[in-house]
This record gives sequence, C-alpha cells and structure tokens, in this order.
Amino acid sequence: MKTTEHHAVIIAENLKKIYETKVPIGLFRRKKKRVIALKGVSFSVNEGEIFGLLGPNGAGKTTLIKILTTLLLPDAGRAIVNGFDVVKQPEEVRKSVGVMLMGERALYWKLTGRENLEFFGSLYKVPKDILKKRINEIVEFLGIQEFIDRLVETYSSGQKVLLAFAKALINDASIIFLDEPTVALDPRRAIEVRQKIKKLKEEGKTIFLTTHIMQEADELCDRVAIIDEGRIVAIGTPDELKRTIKGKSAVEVDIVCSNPKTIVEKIQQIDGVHKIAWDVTSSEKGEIVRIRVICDNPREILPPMMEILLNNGVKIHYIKPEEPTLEDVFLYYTGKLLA
Amino acid sequence: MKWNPEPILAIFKMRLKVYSRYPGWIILDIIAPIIFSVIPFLFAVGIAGSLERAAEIFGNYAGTREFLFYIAIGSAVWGFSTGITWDFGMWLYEELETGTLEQILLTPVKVYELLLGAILYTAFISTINFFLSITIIAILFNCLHYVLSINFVLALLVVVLGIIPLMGLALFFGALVLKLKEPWAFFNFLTAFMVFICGVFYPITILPPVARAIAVVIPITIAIADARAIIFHLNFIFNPKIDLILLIVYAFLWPLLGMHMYKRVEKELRQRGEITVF
Ligand SMILES: Nc1ncnc2c1ncn2[C@@H]1O[C@H](COP(=O)(O)OP(=O)(O)OP(=O)(O)O)[C@@H](O)[C@H]1O
Ligand SMILES: [Mg+2]
Repeated sequence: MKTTEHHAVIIAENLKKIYETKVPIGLFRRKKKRVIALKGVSFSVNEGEIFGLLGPNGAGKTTLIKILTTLLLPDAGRAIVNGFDVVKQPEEVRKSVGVMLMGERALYWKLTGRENLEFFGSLYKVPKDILKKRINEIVEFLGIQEFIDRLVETYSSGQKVLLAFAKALINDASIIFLDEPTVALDPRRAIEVRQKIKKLKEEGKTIFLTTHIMQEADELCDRVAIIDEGRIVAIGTPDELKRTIKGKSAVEVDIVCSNPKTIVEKIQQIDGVHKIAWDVTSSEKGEIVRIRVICDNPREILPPMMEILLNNGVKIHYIKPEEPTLEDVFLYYTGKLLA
Repeated sequence: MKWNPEPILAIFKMRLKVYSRYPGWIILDIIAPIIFSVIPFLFAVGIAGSLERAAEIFGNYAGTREFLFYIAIGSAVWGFSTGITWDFGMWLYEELETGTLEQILLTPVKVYELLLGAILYTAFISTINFFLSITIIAILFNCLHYVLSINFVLALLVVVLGIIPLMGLALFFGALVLKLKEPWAFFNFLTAFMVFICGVFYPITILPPVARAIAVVIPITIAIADARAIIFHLNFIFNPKIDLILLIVYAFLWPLLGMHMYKRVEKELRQRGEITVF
C-alpha cells in the first residue's frame, strides 16, 4: 500500500524574517536598518517531489533555505521538516537533510575533496566502512573521480560546486536542499547536474531547490513556487502556472534607445497590456533594451506599440509575439523579468 | 545509545591535516616557545648585572634561586594553558571567516564535540611544545634533574587537572569572539592582562590583593603556582587541599558558564543571520 502519495515532508506556515543590520554613516556612527526578507511564506513539499523556488536576486530564497535547514531562526511562523520543528528540534532536522548552499567557501581548501567528504561524513556519524563505500559511490555518481583526490584549492569554481553537491549527499538524507545548484556550471555540466537531480528523485529523495533560471524550474521541478520580495506569489506545477495565463500572449521587443523608462511607461498605458518589464543587455551592436509585454491579444496592441516606438525615434531590432513561457508567468505575477 | 567519538576525532584529524599543510606554522610553533622562555632570563640578567646576582634577588622573594627553571615552568604551563584557552575561539573565528562554520553547524554535531575535537588538537600541539621547551631549557641550564623527578610528574598532573576548567574558559572566550568578531584586539588585551595577573614570571604574592583575588578565579594561576610549588617545594596558593578543591569547583563552574554563554551567542547569531558575517 502506498501512503506516501501526498505526504508532506516540508511544511512552512507563515514564515517571517527581518534582518537588522547596522549601516555605517560617517566614521563611527551607525544606523540601524531593517531588511524584511520574508513576509509570511507558507507552502508544503510532498515526499519524493522536486520542488523549485523561483525568484530574482534578493527575493528571499536563501533566507528560506537557511530557516528550513536550521541555520537561521524565523521571527514568526513555523516550519516542519521530516516531521520535526526547525526551531524546537534542530538536531533531528539536521540529521534528516543534506544541504548545498551557494558559494565556494563552504569547503576546506587545504584538504582534498575526499578528505572534505570524510570529514563531514564523520560529523554525521556515518560509520567508517559505510562512509568509505558511500564516498566512492557519490564520486562515481557525479563523475568527479578526476579531481577528488586533489587539494580543493586547485579546483575550478565548477569543480567546487560539484564537491559541494557531493557533500550534500554524504549523510544519505531523504531530503536534499540545493541553493542554486547549477549557477557556476558550464552548460554541459549544468545539464549533467540536472540529470543527477532527477536520478536522486528516482531514488525516492525529496528535493528542494532554488533557482532563477526559468528553464531549469520548468524542466526539473514537479512544482514551482514563485517568490518575489519575500512573498510567494504563485505556486503549482509548471503547466498549472502556465495555464493561469492561458489566453494571454507575450510580445518581445529588442530596441536601441536612450529613454527606455518613458517608452515603457507609455506602452503600459495601452489597453490590453497586463504587465511589462524591461532589461538592458549589451551585445556587439551596443546596449540593447529588451522589453517583454504580457497582453490579451498581440494583434490589438502591436499597432499602438509600433506607433509609440516610431514616434520616439527608437531603432527596432526585433519584435515578435510569442507563446507564453514560465518566464511570462513570472512577469505576470511580479511585473519583473528574471535575470 | 553507544557513545561515538567519531566527530571529535574527525575535527582533530582535520585540524592536524590542515596544520601539516602549512610548513611555516610548524617551524614557528617550535621556535616560539623557546624564545618565549629565554627572553625573561636575558631580561633578569640584564637588570641584575649577572646571573649570580639575579638568582640571589630572585631567591629572596620567590623562595628558590633556580629562577631560570622557575620561569621556564611558568611560561611552559602558561603556553600550554593559554593555548587551550584561546585556541577554540581563534579556530571558531577562522571557520567563520572561511565559511566552513556554517557547514559544520548544518550537521548534528554537538557543542561539546566541537570543543573536545578542537581542544584535542590544541592539547596535542601544546604538549609537544611544552616538553620541547622544558627539555631544551632544562638541558641548557642544567636543570634536568628537576624534570626527571617524581614531583615533576605530580606537577604535570596538576596541569592536566587544570585542563577541564580551561575548556570552560575556552567556550566562554569562543562565544565572546563570535559575538564581538574582533578576536585579535580581544586576544592581545587579555593575553597582556593574564600574563600580568597569573604569575607567569613571578609569584602572585607580589601583586596587590585585588589583583590576587581576580587571579585565583583563573585556573591558570593555580596550575602555574602549584606546579612550581610541587617541583621547588614552595608554598601553594592556599594549601594543597584548598587548591585542589578550587580546581575541582572550577572544573564544573567554568564549563557550565562557558556552555551557557556559547548557547546564548549561537542562538543570537542564528537569530541575526550572522553565522556567515564576520
Ligand atoms: N545577513 C543578512 N543581513 C542583512 N540582510 C540580509 C542578510 N542576508 C540576506 N539579507 C537580505 O535579505 C534579502 C533576501 O536575501 P536572500 O539571500 O534570501 O535572497 P535570494 O533570493 O537568495 O537572492 P539571490 O538570488 O541573490 O541569492 C536581501 O535583500 C538581502 O540583502
Ligand atoms: Mg541566494
């Protein structure tokens, strides 16, 4: 009998977090500043699923992972991981989870990769013989034989990320937290890592990952929560999320202009435009402003849009109506483009 | 459940491996204690005019003319004890700076395991330094007979007994370092203060009463004075029995105080999200 179907292994209820920092003003004076990182976040993750937290920089993704893995105490709300309260039973939570945080500083540079894994494995009290075998399995699983016995200080950034990933598997936990696991990897390694994450799911593990890469969330995750400015603005399977903006279309425009802000404001006034966002990228042709618009019907908005662009002396590189993607879901709910 | 010392040993081994990969540190660690114990002799001889004269003056207030070895014992016990007291905090700060503290705190490792693992390493290095400097000084200044006596072994026992309260002090300082995040300023200040007050180079009887009262709260003072008392047949701080009771009381008091302080600071850091901020 399968009772695991909808068994929630991570539950967050109304989590709030405010950081208090001191900002230096002048030489010795400091001013208190409050950063509201989470404004009441609730969701649950079912056993065996890959759950993705999608959001732009500063949205609160890492803050949320740190609370769920006991590194940070919430200011309000409650979180249960593997049946244990993150505030009241931190040790039980730590035993239940494997964690990979962002950044390459998380390893001992003066030890080899293997020595790092042995060290952390021992802190989890993995018995010696099992630990040795497990390290070999993980090394093979991730394909990191080539550098595992070198000092970490000789690793490339991507290799450090892979070792950090290996470290998250060392206690063979059933729940794995990954904070932007593919961010420092080249495209080929990123694809490989995504495949490994899927494999882990096939082994029955629950995976909670953060990302700001749309395709990653779309391809990898069973369910996605979109987080922005400390709030979850939408949650569901990638298809469900796309369906919420069904009937809407996206129009993408690449232009060269000096006053994108005023142009965007004007386009926003057009009837039938739901959301608009823009972003500047530089290419060999110079600074290109990319504008993305969510609308009911591209046929209706294209003529007035062209008029605004032409009247403002804008050089148009590219303009095209497109099928909405998960990226547009994000734009629809937050009014922002992802990085 | 069976006790599993694996995390403690893992921290010990990890620190030893990291240490072994910085050859410069090893050389420094061998040379430093020797220099540290030779300097006061040169100083004393310089002030008194000759070795003979220095010994005479010293004998009048310390009770033994063997001031060379007297100071060697003091600085060796001092080096050993302060190593144990400071090193935990310095290590925690280092881990905070490199970002690995966060990774350690993600595991179910317990505070006492962290402390014992870190201190096992310190004790190992400090013991080597201790015997190295004592032996070299003893050979240089003809005091080897003191080292080979049964009293020397007894004195060592006092020093070892002093380790337990020192571990409490270590936790206490470790917590303060994590909270204040300025380990060096703090370290320099307290080192100077404690060299002055613990009687490293002289008996604490020459200190004013207030300073003496503070001194006996620090277990290092008792370890230094009693190790000397046993080796040179001098006076104990109070008497052997009271000194022993004090050390035993401190062996409970300081660890409790340290644990309380550490837990509080750790919680504060988790609250403020400062486990990676330094
Ligand atoms: N220790 C801290 N002290 C003060 N403010 C902090 C601290 N850590 C994070 N913040 C702030 O809290 C907010 C959320 O940060 P968080 O790291 O959770 O974002 P994120 O979604 O992980 O972003 P990114 O994609 O850049 O990693 C940000 O505004 C950030 O500046
Ligand atoms: Mg982050």
